[in-house]
Amino acid sequence: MNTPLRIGLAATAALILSALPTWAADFTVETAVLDNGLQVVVVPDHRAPLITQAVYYKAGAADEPAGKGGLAHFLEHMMFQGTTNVPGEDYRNTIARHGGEENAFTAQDMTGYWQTVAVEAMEIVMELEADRMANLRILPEEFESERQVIKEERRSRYESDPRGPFSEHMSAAVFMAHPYRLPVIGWMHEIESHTVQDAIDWYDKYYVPNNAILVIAGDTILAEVLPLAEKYYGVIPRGADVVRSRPQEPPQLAERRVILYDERVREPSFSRSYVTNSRTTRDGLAPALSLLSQILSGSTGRLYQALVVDQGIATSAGAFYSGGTMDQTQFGMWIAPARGADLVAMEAALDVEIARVVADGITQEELDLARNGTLSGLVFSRDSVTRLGRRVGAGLAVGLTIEEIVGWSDEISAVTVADVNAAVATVFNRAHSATGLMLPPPDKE
Amino acid sequence: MGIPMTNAFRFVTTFAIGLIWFGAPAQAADIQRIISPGGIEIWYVQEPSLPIIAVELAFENAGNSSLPEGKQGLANMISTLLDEGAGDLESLAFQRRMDELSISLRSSDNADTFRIRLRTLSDNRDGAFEMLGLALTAPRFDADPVERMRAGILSDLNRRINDPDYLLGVAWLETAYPGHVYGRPPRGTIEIIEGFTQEDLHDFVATRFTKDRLKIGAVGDVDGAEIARLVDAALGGLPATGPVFEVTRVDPIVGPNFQVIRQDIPQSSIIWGTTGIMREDPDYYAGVVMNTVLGGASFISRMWQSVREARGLAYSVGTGITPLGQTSYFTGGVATRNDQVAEAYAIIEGEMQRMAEEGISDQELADAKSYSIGNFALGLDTNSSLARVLVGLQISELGIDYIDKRVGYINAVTKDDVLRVARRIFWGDEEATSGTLRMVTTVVGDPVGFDDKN
Repeated sequence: MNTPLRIGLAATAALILSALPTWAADFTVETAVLDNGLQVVVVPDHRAPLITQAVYYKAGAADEPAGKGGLAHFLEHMMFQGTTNVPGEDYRNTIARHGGEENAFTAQDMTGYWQTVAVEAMEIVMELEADRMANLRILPEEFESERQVIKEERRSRYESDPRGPFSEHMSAAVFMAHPYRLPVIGWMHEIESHTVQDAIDWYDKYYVPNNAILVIAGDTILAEVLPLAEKYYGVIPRGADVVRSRPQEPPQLAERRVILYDERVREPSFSRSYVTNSRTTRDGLAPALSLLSQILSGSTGRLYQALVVDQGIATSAGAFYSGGTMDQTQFGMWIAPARGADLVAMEAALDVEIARVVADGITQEELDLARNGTLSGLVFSRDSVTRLGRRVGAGLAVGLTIEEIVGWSDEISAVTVADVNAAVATVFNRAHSATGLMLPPPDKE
Repeated sequence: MGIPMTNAFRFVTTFAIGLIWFGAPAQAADIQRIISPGGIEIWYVQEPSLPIIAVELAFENAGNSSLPEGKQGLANMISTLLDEGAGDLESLAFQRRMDELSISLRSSDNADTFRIRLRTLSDNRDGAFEMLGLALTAPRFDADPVERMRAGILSDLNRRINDPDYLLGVAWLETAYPGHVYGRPPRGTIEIIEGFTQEDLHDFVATRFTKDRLKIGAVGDVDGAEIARLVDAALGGLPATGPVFEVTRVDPIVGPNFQVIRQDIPQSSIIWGTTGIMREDPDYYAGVVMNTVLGGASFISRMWQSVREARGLAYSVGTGITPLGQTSYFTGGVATRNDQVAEAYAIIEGEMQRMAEEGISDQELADAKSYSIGNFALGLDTNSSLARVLVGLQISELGIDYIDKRVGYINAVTKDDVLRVARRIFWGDEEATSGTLRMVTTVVGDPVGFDDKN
């Protein structure tokens, strides 16, 4: 039987800057699990008569077998080529006739498919998406044609600009063993190597209802969605249990350095990434690091104020933290050097800022501002119910619970100065870091 | 309607279909037109379900086309400086105030307009509009932040010198509009940016942020009287009028014209284009339907089918019509491996010829109409996007009831209309029964066997 669970989060946030209504950051999610294991989630919003359906599979590039880089993404492309019931062209035409938009994405931890349509077309897109969960048909000639498309995609996105190889080499240095070191799209020679059977095996293993999450965001409620979910998705048999087991990082004991020289580089780039924990570790580090990245970022943040405003050695600088990964993640910093800046001095200036926050910690005022900004950002994010749905789907796909996803605002509200300072002490370990420089060839400097 | 010029080229690298926003949602938002006590017209929708307000402002005749030769990029530089200090608040104090109030104030420029986007929690609306007013009426342009922003722009421009997509867009416009403001690089050049003075900055604001140029759309948790009060308080101090900067009516040059910019990269990017259809032209909707079938609705278009699906020649391919204030262009874009450029471009030309020779089928007409009508509603899903549409409706003078009427305009298009408009675009003559494609075509990359066509 279904087990509908209704979660509406009340305001439990600690008091922060008085102007902000913290309750406003919360949103309502309804969920149920079908007998075959498919989790169904509805995020209601009745402002516009639209819905976005998205199906997330708990299978991404980091789940690929060694040497099969890009297979998850290749299969994503094949999902648009038709099923035993519906040719690919009919799928696209049906959605287009309703004025809908649709696409898909592959990431390290998940693969997602979505359609946005008028609410009247909800049943149609549910039928189509359920069909390709169960009945994909991969024809060899289409597989070969799509291989060429993917190679063009790789050329467009990663080979036409030196930033492509730079980011690929950085990832490979940041992670020593975890497959996050490899590009989602795959290396060109591995794209070349995939076979139809590889794709079928991948599909059979991962594309099963008990390894998927159906999210419908928009002008509907669970009571309307559930009968349709039962009708179209509920008939798909449960598959074998999926165990996601990826190579994990060994202790990192030495910092790494990546220097890419490329004729096309006219302005050098600098970045540094530290390997650290994500939200799934559940050790309180994630909300603290998220706020720390805010304190360092933005035009009022520490890095910009120090490197751009005070010292004039950079044109921009900031930090980022992506806590939504299934395994370990990166806390990163980047700098765009000012013209003619001494890069050694610039890096030293960054290290001075890091040493300063490690030694002295952050201030209450910095924390209040960052927290206020994050919570307001969560309120503004409710303007797009499609994005809210994506947040829920992506969170579930990496193993967070709905309570954790919706309760992020509470975690943020609860962070103290001491929490951030403890996170600072943990994260800034050079032995866990890689530093990257993208430069013109030495003789052109 | 003012589409930023760079958008026309975005389909080179993404799937995104240019938003066709003139259509009807099933339940059109209740759009109100208010004249504030201070005489400022505001289009707004009250949306109480979220505690936020989204405001979109546009100043017409204040984009790049309003700038004289040698001042291109000034509007872009202004857009980087509007949160860098105003009134008594220097840069850091201004930005800290914005942080404290969680205000987002973003500006951008395009060919014909200067845009400002304000987003605030409704509880902070007084502070937010106060900051908006300060930014537009009393910007400081202190030397330090001006030099910081200048350095950032110069570094960005220098980086783009080797960016194939940037080069492609700039080169196509330059070739298509020689000697006209629409042909000049929208972000200026290094030499131009280096030359901007404090006087240039202040002059831009004084002459272009004027009430007669202003269009406002607002959506959010606020009522009409309140939004009118806020707008008056923030913008009542703007000058009533400013000088008119004449932009001459122009069409792209008539092709065929081929240009290859050699770069040692594995893939070539291509833009081709010619005269499009002006927004006020009676055949505009026929142009929309024709473009939808040809390359506008990317996943289902003929070009997508023949270039990507049938032959795997490209990751994306698409076309669009971009009407500006004094011109309109039809353009398409694709990126493919250097040794496939000739093959891909021959297919693309073949699709344009076929469109001009045969037009579209009954089924394609019906599908394109239902796509175009249904797709419109998708652009009204957030307060911010609705506010943008409210400004677009005013700029294009489409009327407050346009959203309801738009379905009829699309449905009235016939196959003959589509054929006529295709011949006009591709051959330059809607009466002709045969013709030569008159495309201006620019390639960046190292295409094999392609420059021979010159």
